[in-house]
Amino acid sequence: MSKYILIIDDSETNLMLLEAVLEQEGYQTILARNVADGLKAMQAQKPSLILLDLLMPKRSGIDFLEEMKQSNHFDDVPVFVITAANDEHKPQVMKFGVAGFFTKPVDINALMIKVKEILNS
Amino acid sequence: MEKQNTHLSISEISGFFWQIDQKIQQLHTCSSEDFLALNGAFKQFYKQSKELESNAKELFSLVSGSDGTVLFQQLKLFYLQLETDQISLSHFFRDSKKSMEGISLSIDDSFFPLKNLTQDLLTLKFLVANKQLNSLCNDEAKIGGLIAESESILTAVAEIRNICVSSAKLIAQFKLGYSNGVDVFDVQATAHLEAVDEILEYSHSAIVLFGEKYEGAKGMLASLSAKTEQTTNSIGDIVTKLQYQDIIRQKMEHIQASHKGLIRELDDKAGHNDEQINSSIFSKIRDIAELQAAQLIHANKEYQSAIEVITGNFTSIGQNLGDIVQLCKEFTNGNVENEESHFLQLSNKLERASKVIHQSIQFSKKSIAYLQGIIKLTADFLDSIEKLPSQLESLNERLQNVYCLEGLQSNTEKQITELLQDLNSNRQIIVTSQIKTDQLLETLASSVSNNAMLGKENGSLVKVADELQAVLVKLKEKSSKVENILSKNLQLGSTVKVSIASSVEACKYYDFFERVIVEIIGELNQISEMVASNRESPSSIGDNLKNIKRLYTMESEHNIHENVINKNMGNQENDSNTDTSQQSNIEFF
Repeated sequence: MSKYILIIDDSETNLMLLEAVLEQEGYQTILARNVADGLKAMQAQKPSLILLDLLMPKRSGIDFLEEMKQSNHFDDVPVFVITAANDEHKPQVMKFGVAGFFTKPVDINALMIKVKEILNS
Repeated sequence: MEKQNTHLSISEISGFFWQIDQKIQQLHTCSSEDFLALNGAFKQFYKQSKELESNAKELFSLVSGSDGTVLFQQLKLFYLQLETDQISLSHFFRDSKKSMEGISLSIDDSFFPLKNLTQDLLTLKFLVANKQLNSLCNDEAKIGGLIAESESILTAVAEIRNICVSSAKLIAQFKLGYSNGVDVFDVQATAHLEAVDEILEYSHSAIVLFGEKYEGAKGMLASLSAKTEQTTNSIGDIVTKLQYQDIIRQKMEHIQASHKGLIRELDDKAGHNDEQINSSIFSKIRDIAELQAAQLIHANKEYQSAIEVITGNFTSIGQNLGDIVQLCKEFTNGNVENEESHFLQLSNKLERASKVIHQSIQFSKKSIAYLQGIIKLTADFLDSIEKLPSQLESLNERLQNVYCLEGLQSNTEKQITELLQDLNSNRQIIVTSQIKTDQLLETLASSVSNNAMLGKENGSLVKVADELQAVLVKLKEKSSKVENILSKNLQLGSTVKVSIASSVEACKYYDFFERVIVEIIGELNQISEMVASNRESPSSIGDNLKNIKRLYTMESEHNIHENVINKNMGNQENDSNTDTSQQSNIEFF
């Protein structure tokens, strides 16, 4: 059974990109364009990994992480933060125990290596 | 230069910023459309390129992979086995023919002696009958014994004569069977060996071809690997650059946010005529305009670079995929005159080989049956004459004993004596022929027995045919896969080529983006020039831009921000020594 990855990003191009690359590698993807959709998608089906953008309109990636933390059900789901923001958010994000922090533009090969590593571990 | 701020009211400046904001909005739209189109195209190329690479890899691995290695070994083993069988068959046919000829000649040696014996025994019968009649005139006491003895001799003569007659008939049967089959056997054996020779040639050329392809595939895999690596790098670059849409969008949003703040501030102060307030806001506007221009220049560079890299890499991927398709085409068929793939040619040739081998099996079965018929005829003949020499020997002894054939002899006795010599002579010839035929029969029977397995279920030829069948099944399977992959790749290659060309052409906003950015920067320059006279003291520049810095989230924005501040601080230091009019000539390009 293929692994299921939830991608939360307000950028349509980023969603399409990650979807294309991940699906080519054999992963299933669910795309969410904002935090609310991401939370809904996560409740509907528990993902194997979440790729999360930080800076989004209305609610940020940090809001998502806070809500996720409140439910113990998703403690075992690793999160990779992918953001165009500089490292100033990194310490705040790392407190949530995220598995990876990537700055846009992301080196897709490096990201894929990390995705495979975490999903195979 | 004359101070120009007096030509613009705060409301007019606010209007300028609104116009700029509208233009930035246009940039959002065009950037989004361009990148979404490129992203869609990328998604398709990415899938197609991966499929094409995977197909090509599968294609080359069909030959050079472990399955191909096994097939290559099977093909070589088949060739070696067929070559061995060819030699065995050739020897078998040659030796069988030689044995049959020998048997025929040897049996011929017995034919006339048997005919002579038949005649001699008939004569003997008359002589014995004559002697029997003569004996009636002799001693009556011996008559009974002689008659009985003569009757017994006559019976033996008749028996031997029957053997001679039936043996002569068996010779005739042998000759008929032999002469009817030997020419066909000879011609067919030669034709068959020639056909197998041809198959050996086919097989050899198949091995050479497969070997070339096997080695070729390894080279192709290396080329494919290099092309794949290039494509992977191009894809990596595209993925990186496509992310700039989001980065540029955010940067422009940051600029828009700062403009909105400024517009609000301008709107608040629009009604005031306070010189100091106006001076402060003009100074701020100039600093912000300069900063935003610098941010936009950077954003434009990123946009242009991203589009150039993406389209360049699209073209590079298209070229690589075209090269991969060409590699596949060259690999499967180097001969442009013949559209069949090498695999199809190979399997067609071996299909013919399979037919010949099956004909060979049938022919071997027929040959064995024919030779077994010859063996039976020969054996029947030998059985028939087996006891003939001893019977003749016994007859000779009895005649000697009964008719006292030594010393003074009557005319009849002389004739019997001469006849016995003749019988003995013919007996000797038959014995010699019998021994020779027996030896040749043994050789032929042994050869037939050894080669009888050729056409049987677990016989060598059947095994070779089975091996060939297995090779053929795999080859056909491969041939079909190759045709399928090649056709897919050719289709994919041409689709990708067309799609890439149209995607590159579809980047309609490439020039538009730059033109609008140039316009915006021009307007910012204009604003900056118009408000240049109201520059505040150097210490306030950082304060003017401090709030804007908080809007930035990216490292590159912060760097540009710092550079602009540092540059202005430097300029302001220089201002104390230079004419302030020079400041209004600042160009952001």
